[in-house]
Amino acid sequence: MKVLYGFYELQTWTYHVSVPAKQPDIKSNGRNFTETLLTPQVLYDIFARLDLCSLSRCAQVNRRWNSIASDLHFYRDVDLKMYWNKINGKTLEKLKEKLQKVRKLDLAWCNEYLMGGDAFNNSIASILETVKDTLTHLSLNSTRWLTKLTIQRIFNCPNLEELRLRNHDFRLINNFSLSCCGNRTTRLTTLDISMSFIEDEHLIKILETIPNLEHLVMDNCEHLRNLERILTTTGTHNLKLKSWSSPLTFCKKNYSIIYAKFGKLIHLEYLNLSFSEPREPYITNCFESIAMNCQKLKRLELMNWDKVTDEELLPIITQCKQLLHLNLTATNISFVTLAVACENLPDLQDICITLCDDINIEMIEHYTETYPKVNFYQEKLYPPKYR
Amino acid sequence: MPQIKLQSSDGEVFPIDVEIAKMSTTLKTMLEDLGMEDDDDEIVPLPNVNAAILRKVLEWCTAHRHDPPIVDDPNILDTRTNNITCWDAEFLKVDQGTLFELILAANYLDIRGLLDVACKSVATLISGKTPEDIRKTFNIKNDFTPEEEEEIRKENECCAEK
Repeated sequence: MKVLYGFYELQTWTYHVSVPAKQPDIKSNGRNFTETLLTPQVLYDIFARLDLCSLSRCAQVNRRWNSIASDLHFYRDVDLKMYWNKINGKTLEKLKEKLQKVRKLDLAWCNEYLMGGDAFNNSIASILETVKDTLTHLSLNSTRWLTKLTIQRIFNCPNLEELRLRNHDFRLINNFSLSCCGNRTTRLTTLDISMSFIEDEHLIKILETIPNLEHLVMDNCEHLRNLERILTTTGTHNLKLKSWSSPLTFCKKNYSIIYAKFGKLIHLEYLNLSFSEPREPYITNCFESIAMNCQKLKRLELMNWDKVTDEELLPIITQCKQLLHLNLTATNISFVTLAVACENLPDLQDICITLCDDINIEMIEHYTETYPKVNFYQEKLYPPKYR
Repeated sequence: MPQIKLQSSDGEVFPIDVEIAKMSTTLKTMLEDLGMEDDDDEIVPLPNVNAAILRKVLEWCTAHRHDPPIVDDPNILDTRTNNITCWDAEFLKVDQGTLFELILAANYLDIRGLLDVACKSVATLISGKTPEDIRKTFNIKNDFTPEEEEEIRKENECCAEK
């Protein structure tokens, strides 16, 4: 048996004796033992599992490692968020060559300490021009200032599926309407503009060019005011919408009748309207149209709708049979509504009832026994003294 | 349980359960394509794997025979190095040469789980080290001219530090 793997033993032996005392004589035998075993294939497998930092260091080891570590295959999914304070126009220019085949690019916070700068924007624009056919996911969260050219290039990427522009300022983009009217981003399914300074006009222009949008995230955009116009646009151009999230947005001047327009979005599965209750009085029932049309609704969040009555909610909890989660934090709903929801919704998993004044703990205990499938929960709040 | 025989590059024959052999995508495809599953006498030669490494590979496969298959996108690899199980860590306490040979064998036999864990084990040797430290760890000579080295350092500087 020993004879059979004698070759291997010889190899390990060579390895053990050659390393410790003296450096192996590299000149005479070309490469040392370790390098012989680190074939390109092995290096390739190892490099594919390294983070960007280690990969950059491996590229500096020697010529052979450099040529393998420079393979564009390792730069397909690039997250530069961690290096935000090192990425600026200049460094991005150096990375440009390696990003030629990038599919997912995350540049969140990378903008010269948020001071803005043309160099950064020019580099992004020129990268986008090179990668427009491969890019599928782009995040420019919190990079703050984008130029018209950058926006133009973004909306010129035909394979883009996910675009994140959180915490942005769209005010500086002149002639915005001209920037994104290419109708090229037909594959875009996710758009996130949370916490951005964006106005209705701009969002409408964007929405008109992305017919296949499924997820729209616009949390806390205080400069979006006209829910009616946005809903008219989505009701014409974005009928595939599956999720709509707009807590803290549209909190001014909205009448209950406008909410009926959600009924056009028949594929909606997730609807978050927290902190954006219509202005008093409710002229019409907000939810009748939603209940009738959005039959796929699985999750509904209505935090802080303190004027909503049991009657208003009734259509939703009797007709949207697929509902799984219901967030009624800080509403004034009664026990009767909870019971109706539990009776009518076969898949219901949880109801959040934090800060619901009309509901007391004894009744929750009773309901938990009566409806064991449903989880009635209350978010943990800060102890009173911190409130 | 049906068995097949694997022959290492240095001629040693290993009879093993077909179920274990099939953890290697290469062997699985081969057995199914050639219809060798029920043929106990067939010997599959593996000219790229020596007996010591094959024994090690089979030891890993036997221990992981009940693992759920890895189904994620092969293009997106997990870069975290902290999720190596104790058994694997113990299993991989071998010299560097063996480790590299294991990677080569896992690649050739296409055993994704073993490849992952062996590569991660090498990745832990690399992570946090400067290029010079990496050279020392793997006993590699720097063949850059000083000018080249400076140029490549600049090229990579923005991501080389955290």
